[in-house]
Order: sequence, then structure tokens, then C-alpha cells
Amino acid sequence: MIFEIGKTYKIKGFNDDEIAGKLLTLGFLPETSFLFVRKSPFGGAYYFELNGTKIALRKEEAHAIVAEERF
Amino acid sequence: MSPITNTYKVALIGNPNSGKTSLFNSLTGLHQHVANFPGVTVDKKIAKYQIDKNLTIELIDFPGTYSLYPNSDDEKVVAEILSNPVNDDYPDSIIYVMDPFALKREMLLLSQLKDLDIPIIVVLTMKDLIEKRNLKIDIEKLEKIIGTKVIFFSNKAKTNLNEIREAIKELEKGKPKIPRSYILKDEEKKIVENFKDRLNFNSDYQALLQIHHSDWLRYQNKDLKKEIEKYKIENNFKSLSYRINETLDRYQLFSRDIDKISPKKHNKQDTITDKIDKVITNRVFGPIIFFVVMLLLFQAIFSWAELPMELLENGFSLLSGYIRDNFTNTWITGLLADGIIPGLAGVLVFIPQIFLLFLIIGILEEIGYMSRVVYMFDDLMKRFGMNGRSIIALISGGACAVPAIMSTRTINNWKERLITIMVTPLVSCSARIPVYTLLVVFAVPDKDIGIFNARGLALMGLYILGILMTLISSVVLKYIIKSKGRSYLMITLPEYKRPILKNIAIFVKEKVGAFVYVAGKIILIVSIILWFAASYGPSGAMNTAKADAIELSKDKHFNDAQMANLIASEQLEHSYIGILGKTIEPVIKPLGFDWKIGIALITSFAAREVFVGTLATIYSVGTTDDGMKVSEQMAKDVNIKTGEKTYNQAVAWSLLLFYVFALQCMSTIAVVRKETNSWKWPIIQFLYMGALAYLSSFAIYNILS
Repeated sequence: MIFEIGKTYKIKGFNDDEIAGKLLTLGFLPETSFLFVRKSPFGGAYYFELNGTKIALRKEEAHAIVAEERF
Repeated sequence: MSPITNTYKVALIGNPNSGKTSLFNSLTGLHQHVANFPGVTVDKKIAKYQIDKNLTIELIDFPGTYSLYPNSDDEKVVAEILSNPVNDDYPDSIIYVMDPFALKREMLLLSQLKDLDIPIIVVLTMKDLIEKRNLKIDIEKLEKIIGTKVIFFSNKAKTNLNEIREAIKELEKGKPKIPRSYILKDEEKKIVENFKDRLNFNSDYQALLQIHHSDWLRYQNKDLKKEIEKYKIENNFKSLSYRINETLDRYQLFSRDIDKISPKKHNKQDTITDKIDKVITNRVFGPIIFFVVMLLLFQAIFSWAELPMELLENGFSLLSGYIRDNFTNTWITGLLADGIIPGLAGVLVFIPQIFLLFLIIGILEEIGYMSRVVYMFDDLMKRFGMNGRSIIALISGGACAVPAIMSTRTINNWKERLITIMVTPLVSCSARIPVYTLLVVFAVPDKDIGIFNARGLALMGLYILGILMTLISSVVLKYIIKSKGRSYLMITLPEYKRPILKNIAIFVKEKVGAFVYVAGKIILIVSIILWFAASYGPSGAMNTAKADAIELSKDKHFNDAQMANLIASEQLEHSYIGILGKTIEPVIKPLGFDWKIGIALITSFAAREVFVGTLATIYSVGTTDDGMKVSEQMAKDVNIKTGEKTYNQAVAWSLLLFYVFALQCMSTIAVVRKETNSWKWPIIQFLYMGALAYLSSFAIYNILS
């Protein structure tokens, strides 16, 4: 799914088991919210904030997250 | 005789950036030493200290990991050791290090560790930061949730270091009961039950780990692996999805309780880290700042290292001279003055630059900047078949490829790591500088272009050429090397913090140590071998050469020093190495090189800068003279047949390009062999870099002459 900078999302699930396994160990859990802070200079990596910690993911890694926008 | 002492092994385990290494440094200071975990090139930091007469504590710093389901080689070590009770490094107890700002994430690994049946104490770090931000954590509640002792540790106060040491003693005395976390599901119980007689384990979860990791664990035999694999298929045992469910279940167990006590950010205010990152990782300013930082870094290592390098160089040549002048001239003094001491000098001279580079990288790493660099440039590096983490290796390559290649261990994907290893030696390292500065004199006239000096520009051009070829080669390798598994970025960006001097000191010590022990050993050995090859030759030829030189000196009325120099150069020509130089002459002739340059090419395999010293000997200027003298002699050297100068512009450029590209470094070959665990990759690397060097030298020589 497509994420927009500055918005907060709530995780609903994942569409790739292998990436999911790794994201879970970093704290990307269902029902957890994260903020999309910014993109990398060349656009291929995303800077997220999750539970007060900062984590960078590749675009493809982030796209394995199924989430809904939180208002 | 020392009394029989028991060694009690304590493992320091935690997430990356949890403050684990910092705690290890505080607990052990400089007493630690670095070894390898058996069979893998992963650093193992150990420190031993005696608590009383018959008890020694061995503290082992394990690589940081997020869970026992590993991503990289570093992390695999943790899972491999902790899943195997008979491993030599299997700990008697664990100190689990936690960063209070990421409690929930860190509880996951802790919850896995609790199921291994190893006693644990928890050390919560960054007490100072929590207090500074006016935050609170209820330690008693945390102890209740975890079920173990929790020590809140401040890096500033250090008062509770003793508390930790006492806690280790307590652990040794009696095994505290650690509550289990996860209860195996039916299908997991079944598989453990099925293989329980053939596995060695202390807890069911440990057995389950051995089954999950069966495809890569090195201590499991092939037959067992096959059977486990067969069982998994026949019984539809879905390792990956079971692991995901287990992880989710574990989070369920503690999430609600941990959320209640986790320190929360006051309202939505930006922290200092947020504010810094707004600029530092900005899409426009980020790369500009990085570029400026790199310029300053290289400016610093070149200008600050100049003086200590000169002092070291002069010191060593004085020492050589002193030995030559004050001891009887035997082969031992020769070996010492012309083999071992110059060899040692060749190693030690580079320490100032390597020290400075890793000092600055260490500071950038310690404050948290390096992980931002990894994040900013990962996608760019990916286009070249590498990873954001490759940048650190490439920058380090500017000092020395040996520690640089060793630093690729953090790259989890084999292909990305291999490409980084294969191209790093194309970045111009410290040892090329003396060669460049000597040759650029012949390649470029000393004049100004605008505000720049032409020679300075040429030097910069050589560096850029190296970097360009690094990128081009990586793109080519990207299409040739086959990928094993997926690659990931997934990196946590720690809060910025003030650097702790001790951590930087230990980081620098490790890197410089890697250079001295790995590269130094080889440079020294090769220097000694080369000294023999240069000092001895077929006996008749050497004596004739000496006699001829003496005769010629008498004819030309040379003084003693001039005669000695002439003898040295004549003998070198007839030594084994001289013969070798002449043998390879036909091969290097198309590049414009004669046999003298051939000798220097061979000797500089020890380390590239040996090129300069060898030419000094060949042009019989004596080793005590400085580089200027060498270049003056080189300028005078004339080809007897054609009457043309040996070092014209074409030859100089040809040599320069050769040194930009060729893998003229035994230490690098050795370290690549070790890191890739095969001769295949260093040989390929040597050949492809050699081909690049040969072809480009050939091209430029023919264009210019």
C-alpha cells in the first residue's frame, strides 16, 4: 500500500511472511501505530517512528505492511 | 602453579543499540580482547576477571540481535550458541541489556531467552537520559513483569557497576528460577517429542530452535538435518508461519503490562533527535551535509597525519642508518636495516592516517550519525548491488582495505556483502598516496589551473577515478554474482547521544589493531622474503656485479657512499628479484615499464608504498634519502638504447593508472580469503583488478606516447 509522509497508520497485517517475521522482531505489530516521517534523498527508503523509536525500512519492506490511516 | 579455578561464563546479550557494548566497556575497560567465534568471522569480545581465589568470571559480548530468529551472520552466532548447550561459549548466565526507550521490542528477545533455562539478570541502560527528560520507569513493576532482577544503569554515574558485579556473583551461587514465557503448541510439541532423543537440549524451546534452524545450524549432522526436513514436509510443519505466530503470542504475553510502564514522550513535542534529523536526514541537506563531512574527514586525515607520518618515517630511517653504521656488516644487520626495519616502518607509517580515519568514523558511529548515512544512501547503494551499510566499508577503504573489508560483516545479504568486499580495494587507500605523489611529478607539470595546482587536481582525479571504477565494477558484479536470499535495510536509528570516550577508544583500538595484526604481519613477512630475494642471487653473478661496480666507481672517482650505492644497485639487478624483474619485462613492456619498474611492481606486493623504497634502491640513492632525491634520480634515468627518459609523461600516467586499479596488496588478498572463506574470490578479485590495471595502463601509454 502507498503511505503518505506525515500521516499515522495502524498496522492491520502483512502481505509477506518472510518480511513480516522480521518486522515483528522490530516491533511492527498488528494494532500498533506508526508515523511516516520522511523519505530518503533518493526515495527508496522510509523513515518511520514507532513506539517512540525510529526505524528505517526499504520501500519494498514497508509495502509488506497492511495498514489503515489513523486520524 | 595456579590453583584450579572455575570459569563462570556470562553472556552480554541485547538488541543492537541497546547500550550493550557500552556496558561491556564500562565493566571491563581495556582488559577486553577480541577473538573470533569458532569457525566464523564474527568478533567475539571477551574479558576475564577473577572474583575470588577459585572463581573467574568470563564476560562475553555477543553480537546485538532482535531475536533468536536471525538475519545476519552476526545474529546467527547468537542463535547457534544459545540453542546448543554443549557449545564452548554456552553461557552459565545472561546479562540482558535493555534500552528503556524500546522496552516492548526488547521484551521479545528476553522472552525467548527466558525459555532457554539460563539464569538472567536485566540491566536497563540510559538512566541518565531518562532522568534528564524527566521520565520515570517503575523498576519494581518491571521486575514483576519480567520475573528477574533489574538493575537500572547510568553510564554517567557508574555507581551501580558494583551492583552488577555483585549480581553476577549471586547468580553463580544459586540458580534463580526464571519463569517460562511461551508454551509450545501441539504441533511444536510433537516435533520436539519426535526428535528429543537425537537432540541435545535443556528446554523444549531450545529443541524447537534447533528444529527451526536445522537448515543452517553447523553443529547438526547431515542425516539429522535430512530427517527433520523430511518430517517438516510430511507433517506440514510450517517453520516460518509458526515462528510468526510464536512471536505474536510472545508480544501478547507482555505488551499490555509493558505499555503501562514504558516512558512516554510528553505530548507531541519534538525531541532533540527529531530536530537534528529534520536537517541531517533532509532530502536536500542530508546528502550535502554528508558530502561536507566526508570532505572534512579526508582533509583531516591528510593534513593531521602528515607530521606524525613524517616523524615515523624519519625515525625508522635513522634507526636503519644507525644499525648500518654502528654494527659490523653481516647479513643479520642487512636483514635488520634493510628488511625488517623498513618492513615495520611500512606498517607503522600508516597508523596515523588509519587511526584518524577510524577515530572520526568512531565518533560519527557513536553519536548515531552512521545509521542515518546507511538510511540515506541505502537505495543508491542498492542500485550498485550493495547495501547502505556498504558505505562505511567504502569510506574505511580510504585508509586501508583490511579493516574496511572486515567491517562488511554487518551486511546480512551475502551478495551485497561480497560485492562490497570485491570493490572496496578500488578505493584509493593510504598506501597509494606515496606512490601517487612520487609519480604525479612526472605526469603533470607544476603549474596552476585557476586557483588549483595542476598536480593537486591530478591527485584528486586519481581518487575520483578509483571511486568511479568502484561503482562501475559493482554494477557489473551485480549482474554476475547470484543472489542468495533476500536483502534487507531494516535499521533502527538510535537517539543522538554524546559520545563516550572509552567506547571510541576501544573502537579505534580494534580497527587499528586489525590493520597492525592482519596487514602488519603479512607486510613484515613479505618484506623479509623480498629482502632475501633482493640481497641474494646466483652466487657468481652477484660477485661479478660487485666487482664491476667497484671497478666502475674507481674509474669515475666515486667516493665511498657513491660506490656503496652503485654496488647496491648493481647487485639488485643481478639478484633473484632482479632476474624476476627482467623475466616479466616482456609482459610489462607494452605498458612502458622496464625491468627496474618490474622489480618495484613485484616488491610492492608487500604493500604498495614499497614501490618508492625499491626505486630508491634501484636508483642507488640509498635508503636514508627522502622522496625528492628519488624523483631527481628517476628524472635523470635514460633508456640506453633510445636515449629517451624512462619516466616521461606516458610512463608516469601508465604507472599511476596501474596503481589505481591493481590489487597490489597481499594483506588484502589474505583478508578477502578469510572473510569469504575461499580462494575463489580473492583470485577473481586479483585477476579482474589486474586486468583493469593492465588494460588502462596499456591504453593511456599508447595514447600519450
